[in-house]
Amino acid sequence: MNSKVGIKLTFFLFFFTWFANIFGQQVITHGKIVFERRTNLEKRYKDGRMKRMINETNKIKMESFSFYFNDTISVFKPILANEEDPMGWMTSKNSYYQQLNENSQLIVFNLFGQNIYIKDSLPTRSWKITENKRTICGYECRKAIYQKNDSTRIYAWYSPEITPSVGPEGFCGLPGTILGVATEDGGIIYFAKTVEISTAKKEDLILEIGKNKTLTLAELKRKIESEMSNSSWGKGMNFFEDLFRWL
Amino acid sequence: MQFKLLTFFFVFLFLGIFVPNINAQKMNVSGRVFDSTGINPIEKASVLAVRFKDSLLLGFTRTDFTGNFRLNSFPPDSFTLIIEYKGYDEKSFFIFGNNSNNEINIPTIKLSAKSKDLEEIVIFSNKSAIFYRGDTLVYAADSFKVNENAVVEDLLKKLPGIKVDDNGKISSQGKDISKVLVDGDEFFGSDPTIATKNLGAKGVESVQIYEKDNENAKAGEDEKIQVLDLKLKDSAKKGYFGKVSGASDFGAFEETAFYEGELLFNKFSGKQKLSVFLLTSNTPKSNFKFGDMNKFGLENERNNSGMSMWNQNGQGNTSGVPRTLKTGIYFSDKFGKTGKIGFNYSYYESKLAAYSSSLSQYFLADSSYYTDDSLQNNSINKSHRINFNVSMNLDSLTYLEIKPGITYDIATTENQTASSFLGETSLKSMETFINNNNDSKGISSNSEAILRRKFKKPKRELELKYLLVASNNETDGTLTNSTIFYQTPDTALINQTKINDNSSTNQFGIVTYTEPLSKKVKLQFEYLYENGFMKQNRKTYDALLGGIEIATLSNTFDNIRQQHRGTAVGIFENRKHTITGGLGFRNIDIQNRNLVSNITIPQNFNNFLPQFSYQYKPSISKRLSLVYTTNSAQPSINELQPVQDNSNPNRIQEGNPDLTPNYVHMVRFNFNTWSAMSGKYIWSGATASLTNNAFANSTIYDAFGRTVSKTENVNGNMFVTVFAGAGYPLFKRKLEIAPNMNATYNKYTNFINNQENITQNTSISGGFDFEINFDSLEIKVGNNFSYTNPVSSLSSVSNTPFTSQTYSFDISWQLPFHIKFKADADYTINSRRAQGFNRNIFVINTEISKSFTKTENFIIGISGNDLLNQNLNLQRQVNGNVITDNYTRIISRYFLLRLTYKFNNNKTKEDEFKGWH
Repeated sequence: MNSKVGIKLTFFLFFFTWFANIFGQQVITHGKIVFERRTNLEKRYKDGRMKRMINETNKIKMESFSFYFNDTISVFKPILANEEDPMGWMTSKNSYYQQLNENSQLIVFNLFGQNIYIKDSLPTRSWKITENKRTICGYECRKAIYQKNDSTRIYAWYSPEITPSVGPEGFCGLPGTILGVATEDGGIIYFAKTVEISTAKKEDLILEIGKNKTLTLAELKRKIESEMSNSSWGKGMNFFEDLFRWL
Repeated sequence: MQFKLLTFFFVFLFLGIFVPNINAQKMNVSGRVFDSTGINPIEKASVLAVRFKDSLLLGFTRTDFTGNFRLNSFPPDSFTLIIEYKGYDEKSFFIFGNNSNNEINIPTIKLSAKSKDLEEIVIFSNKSAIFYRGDTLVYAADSFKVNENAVVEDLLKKLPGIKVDDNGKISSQGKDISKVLVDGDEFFGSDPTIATKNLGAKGVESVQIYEKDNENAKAGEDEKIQVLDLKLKDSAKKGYFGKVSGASDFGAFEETAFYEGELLFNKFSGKQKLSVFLLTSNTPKSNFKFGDMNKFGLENERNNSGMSMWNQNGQGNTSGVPRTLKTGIYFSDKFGKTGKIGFNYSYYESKLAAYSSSLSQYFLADSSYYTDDSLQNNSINKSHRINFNVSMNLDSLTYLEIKPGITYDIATTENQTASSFLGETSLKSMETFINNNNDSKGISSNSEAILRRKFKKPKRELELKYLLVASNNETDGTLTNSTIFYQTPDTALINQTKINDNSSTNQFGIVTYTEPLSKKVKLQFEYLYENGFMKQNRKTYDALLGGIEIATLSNTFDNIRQQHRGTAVGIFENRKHTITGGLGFRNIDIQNRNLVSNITIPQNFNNFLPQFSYQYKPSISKRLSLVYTTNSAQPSINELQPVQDNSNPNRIQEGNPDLTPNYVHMVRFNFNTWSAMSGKYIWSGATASLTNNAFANSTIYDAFGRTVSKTENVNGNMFVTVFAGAGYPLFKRKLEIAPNMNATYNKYTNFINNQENITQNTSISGGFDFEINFDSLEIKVGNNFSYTNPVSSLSSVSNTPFTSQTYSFDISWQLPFHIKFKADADYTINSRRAQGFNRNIFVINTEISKSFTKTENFIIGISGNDLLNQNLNLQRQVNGNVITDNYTRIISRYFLLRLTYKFNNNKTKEDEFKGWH
């Protein structure tokens, strides 16, 4: 074969592939998602003392979160309402900064107004993949299941079209961005309301924590469990789970 | 999980190489993905490895721009390799990996353009025991035989098409049931097995299975979920719980046995709730525990008890020797979608025998007196209380609530007072004996109606409120008094009968309208109209003179008033700051009418009532607030009625029809902060008030020290208090140190023999509490010191500071074998008081109890109150120019053997309400 033809053909094939990729580019690698969280406080709290403050009219609590992401970074932050509602203290408002290439995350837990900074590696969760699919914000999502413990099962819907393995409330590790997270009983539900393809400003992606002390999750858990349970009102409460890690 | 496979391959690749190193083995799967042409590679296609046996995600990756991928992060296993990309059908490969088959390469994977899936439709039908109603599959439960004590789960296992696995998970026609409802509602929380494992199968009328849109569009489950709805027979929606407790010393120590009895019972059936309660005692216990009042829904009893979540010191009556009976019934039901109706009736009967003695010192400008009083008081109060309430949403924006309440009271009191009057040299100048008996009965009402309307515009709101406070009370009394004078020997006698009829009706209409101007700013307008009427008819007859009316002690008087008040308030509110500022203007028109002399005193006042508040909330656990308010209160009819009240002939009170309403400026400041991680907290605050036209006593003393007092308006009364406290947890919160302090300054004016007397009381108190917490042991130790310095401008003799100190110790210890030990001790040191009142008091209470049976619902306990038999009620009051040290006899040592039984229809452990502390 004539080498010229060979080069031409190779060039053509290469061009064709590139062209096909450009026009066939159907994946999203960065953008901004607004999540809405719906919490059913009645299902959320098992403690009778909490239950007494919850009634038909205030049991459903809606909150919004912003979520910036690209190939390597994701940032999940609460969008604070203009007015604090009286039941505001009953729900967590945590921020997560995930660094995929460093396999690290910075979590800012808000414990009744006080920030606690956590630096740790990204969580590894065992996901079960189902064939169940649904559409969220126009993106087809596959349902995956995470069995947190004997009593809590969490569903996550991720979209293979949005490639970064990130998600809301520190969830990650699925073959696509998570657009929906829900506990099996529907007590806590995160759903994407809008997905926009945009590039985040640098200041949105980085958090300077200054001189604040950081803990690892295990350190925080140990601290909470060993100390809170000594206060008389804390006996018998599952602090770590109740205060921070809902899911 | 079974994967729908449009295309699948079994890949067996036998490499024929024996690999001995098993531990380090990983799967190594590679391949290249193309579109349907097989020429164009697909970049960023998603590649997943999902394990066969449990659908676990083993690993995932994406193809590179040449379509190539490689997965090599997980150990050999059998899995499905799924390749998917938008717009193409997904492709699956079954891979049976093992140590000898761990290198897999699929050189060409072609994805084909998306085809339309056909959904499989299953239709199921059966005999009449199973039928479709619309889309709902219904099983008539009675058609399926189950054992006598079977639960719902046993029934479900018998239903064709329904499968229940070992964990209680249910599927119908192969599809998972996501929710188990009971009569369309969720049964006790999220876990469906609570319903299926606990409800008796006999109570089920039918089992219905249907697909449901998720109730709220926002909900996160699948768009359609399959639910199983258990329709119960009416007889099954019932339950009850309760508590019975009885305690006594069986008369082992004193002639009359001490006892306490308690019954609480709650029965629910559908939406109806019924609570019955009974409390009877002759110990200081006069209220249910706060937790029990909450648990059994005794809302009005809780409000009447004065207890709250944070202050539960209201369980005992310590003003004498009491006997208490309380009983009643609460009923509530729901109607329609939002309607609620409630009714309750309570009957209270309390007897109190109080014996007290006091020593008072009266300081005048040039002399001082002593009186030594001993009082015996027996009273019986009976009261019937009825409350209704109805509330409902008339439509989605309108809410209506009506709460009428009526109380009927009957009271009998008998007072005997013996008083000695002593001059400066402690020489007895006079002695009197007073007998005062009264019978009264009255009816009163406290009712409220609220209509609240919201609008399409958020935060715009209109509220109409009507309040009715009315009472009608009749008292018949007798007064006998004998007085012996020593200096010029003489005696005087009084024997009178009295009638005192009081009635009052107060009606308020309040309209409040809130208009949002922007997201952060709103205006609130309020208009209040008050229409008030009070009337007092007082008659005194002289029994010594054949029952003729004593004109100087009889009168009929009324007070009519109309008030218009308008207030406008601007509110700015954002996440951290709330600022409100406003001004009210009111006009009040008052007619004080003496119906005997026909003299009317008209009064008309215009006042501005400004208000301001600022709240700063930098975080949920840090709060600062500053509030300024103004208000004005009316004098009572007793303060107005221009006739002498000689119930105590030595301390005559007289009203003043010229009194005007007072005017109060009040400033409050608060700061609280709490750190959840360390548990440290600080609370602090200050309150100051300035009252003009305050109601003050003007007292005239006669030569013996007897008094006649009249109410006058005075300016410049002042009250300031500053308080602060903190908590510092140490040793991982096993120990907490909590200091606190309080300082109070109180300045007020009264008149003594027409001379102005300004009293300034300053007191400071402070203390430390230590709290130690272990798993089964809690100990609290605390102390408090208080110092009071009263200063009176007329006489410096009364300016004697006094102190008191208290030390307390509290222990609660959970021992093995369900034994619980509790004890508390209080030691009080009083000093620098009148002779005989500098008593130190040491009170120790203990209780030991043991619970029985598996559910720990049966409890036997022994308690000992005031083991050292030292309890006293001692108080020092400094009032203008009077210092009074008062002693009241109260119940001291007693022991009780107590049996408590808690129960419910499920025969499970009944938990006590846990407080926040």
